[in-house]
Amino acid sequence: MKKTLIVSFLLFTLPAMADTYKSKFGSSVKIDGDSSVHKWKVESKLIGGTIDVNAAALGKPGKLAAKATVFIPVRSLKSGKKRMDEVMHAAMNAAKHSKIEFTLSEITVKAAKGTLSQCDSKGTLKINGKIQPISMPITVSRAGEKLTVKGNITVKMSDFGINPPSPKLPSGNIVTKDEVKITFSWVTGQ
Amino acid sequence: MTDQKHDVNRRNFIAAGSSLAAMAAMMQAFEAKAEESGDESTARRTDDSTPPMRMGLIGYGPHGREIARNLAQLPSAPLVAISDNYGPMLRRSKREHPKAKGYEKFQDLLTDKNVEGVIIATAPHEHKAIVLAALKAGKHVYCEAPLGHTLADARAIAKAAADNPKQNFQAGLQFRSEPQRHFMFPFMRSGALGRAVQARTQWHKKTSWRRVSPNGAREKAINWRLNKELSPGLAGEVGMHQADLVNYFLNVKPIAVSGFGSTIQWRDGRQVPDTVNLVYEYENGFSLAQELTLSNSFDGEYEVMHGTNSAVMLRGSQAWMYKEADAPLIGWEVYARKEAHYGKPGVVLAAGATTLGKSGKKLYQESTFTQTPLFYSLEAFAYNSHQVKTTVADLVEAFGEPDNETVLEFLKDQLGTTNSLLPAANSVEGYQANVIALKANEAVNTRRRVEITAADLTI
Repeated sequence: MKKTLIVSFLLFTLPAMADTYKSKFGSSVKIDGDSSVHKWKVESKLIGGTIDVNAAALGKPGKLAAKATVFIPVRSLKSGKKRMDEVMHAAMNAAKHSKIEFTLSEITVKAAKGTLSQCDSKGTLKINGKIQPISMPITVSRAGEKLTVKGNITVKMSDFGINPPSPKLPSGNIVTKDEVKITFSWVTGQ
Repeated sequence: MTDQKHDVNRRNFIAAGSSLAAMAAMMQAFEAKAEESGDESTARRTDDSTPPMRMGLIGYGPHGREIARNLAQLPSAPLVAISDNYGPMLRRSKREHPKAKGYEKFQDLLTDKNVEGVIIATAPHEHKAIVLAALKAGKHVYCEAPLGHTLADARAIAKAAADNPKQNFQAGLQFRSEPQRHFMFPFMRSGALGRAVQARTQWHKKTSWRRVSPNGAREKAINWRLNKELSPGLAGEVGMHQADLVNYFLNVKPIAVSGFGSTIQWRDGRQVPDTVNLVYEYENGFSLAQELTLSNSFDGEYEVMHGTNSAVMLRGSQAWMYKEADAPLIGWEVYARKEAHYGKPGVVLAAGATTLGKSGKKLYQESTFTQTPLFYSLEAFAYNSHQVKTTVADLVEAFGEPDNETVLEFLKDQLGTTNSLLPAANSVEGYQANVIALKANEAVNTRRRVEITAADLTI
C-alpha cells in the first residue's frame, strides 16, 4: 500500500518527470459568437504560458499529472472592426482584468496514435476575474521539441459576469447571444 | 497599414464593371460609418475612456503652440512636458501650460520617464538629432513634416524609425489622418474618377513668412524658412501635403518634377521664392500641377483630381464630385445631396452628408468632424502609440524579448490587418513625401527638370 502511494505520488506530482514547454509563435485562438444582426468572431495569435507535462506519458492511455498556466491578453482579441473591439474589450472589463487565464490541473489520455493523443482535460477558466471549473477534450500532438495543444469549449458569457454587449445602431440595439465558442491551437516548445 | 483594408484593386475593379463596385464601396463606407458613429458625436474618434499617452512637446514656436492647444482638447494625449531652448518661449509655455514640466534642453525632456510620446515641432534641420535621440530614449515619436531639410536627414530619420519598431513613429502628414479625406479614400481608390487624367492643387495666402524678434541671433534662427540652405521652400512647407494627398488617393508616385519660382511680393532680401509653380510627371501620362503663393489669397486652397468619368474637388473638410455627361451611372449618386458649386451641381462627398441609404432609411446625421487635420493627426498619434505599446508589451510577456523582424511582423499582423489603428502617415510615407517635396524645391531653385527615381524613394 505504502509503495502504491509513493508510485502514485511520483506519477502525479513529481516535477522532475515533467518537461516544461513554453509558448511559441504559431498559436491562435478564436471566439465565435452570434447576435441579432450577424455572427461574429474575434481572434488572437497571442497565447502565452507554460505547460509541464511528461511528453512520453502522453503516448499511452491513462491519467497523468500536468500543470499548465495559459493566458490570452483580452486586448489582443481583434475582430477587424475597431468599434466592435472597443465594445467587446469593455464588456470583458479588459482594463481591470486584462487576461483570459486557463489553469490546467489534469490530463487523461483517452487514445494515442503515433504522436497524436486524444485527451480529456480539467482545469479552471478565468475571464473577467471570475473563475469557473471546466473540462474539455483536447488533442495534443508532439513533434520533436514542440507540443501543440488544440481544443474548443463553449461557455456562457454570463457565467463569467459578462453582460453580452448590446451596442447601439441607428436601427436599434444589437442583441448578442450569451453562448460563445472558444477554439484554440496552442503551440509550445522546449 | 490601414491602406490595405481599403485598397481596392483598380484594374480588377474596372474589369468587374465600375458602377456596381463603386456603389458597393461607397455604400459600405457609408454603412460602416453609420454603424460606428451611432448616436455619439464624431468630433473625436477617441473618447474619455481611451487610455492616455503622456506627451512631451519639443519646440514651442507658433506651430508648437498650435500643437499644445490641440493636445489640450485631447484627453488621450495629456501634455506633461515642454522643451524650448529659447528662454522667453519656455517661460511662455509655463504660463500657458502650467501642468507641463519645462525643459530648456530637449535631451533632459527625453530622460523624463513620465514622457511616453514626443512631438517634434522644431525647424526641419533640427529634426534628425532630436528624432534619433528620442527613439534611442524609447519614446514614441511624432515628427512634423517634412521630416528633414535634406534627403540624407530624411533617410536617416526614416531608417531610425524602421530600426525601432517597438515605438510608434508618425510623420506629420496631417491630411492622412483627417476623417473627411480618409473617408474618401476607398471611393478614390475604387476608380470612380475613371482613368486619372490630371490633378491640380492650389495654396494662395497673403503672408510674409517673416518673423521678428528683438534678439538678432534669434531672429535669424526663427526665419529658417527664408534661408535657402535650411528651407524646403513652399514646395516642402506647403505643397508637400497636397501632393502627398493626390499621390496617396491615386496610388501613384511622380517620376520627375519641373518648376520655377519668383519673389514678387516680399522683396526683403529673402532667398526663398514667395510664389512657386510646379508640374509633376507620372509614368502613365498623368500629371499634377501645383500653384503656391504667399502674395495673394484669392480662392484659397484646394485640390482637384480630374478623371475620364468625373472630377473630384477637395476644399478643406468638404468635397464634391462632378460627373461627365457620358460617365456610367454609379447609382448611389441619385440619392446623394448636390450643391451648386463652380457653376454646376456637384455631388457632395462629405463624410456624413448623405442622408439616404437602402430603403430610404436615414443612415446618419451631418458630419461633426469639425476639428483641424492637426487635431486628428495628434489624436491618431496618441491612440496608435498606445496600441503599439500595449501590443508589444503583450508580445514580450507571451514570448519573451523578440527581435525587430518579429516585432514588425507581429505588429503588422495584429494591428495592420485588423483595422486597429487610426489612419496616419508612417515613416516610409513621410520619407517619400519628403523626397518628392525636396526634389520639387530643387526644381524651383535650379529651374530644371528633376527626376525622381525609385531608388530616391527607397530608404
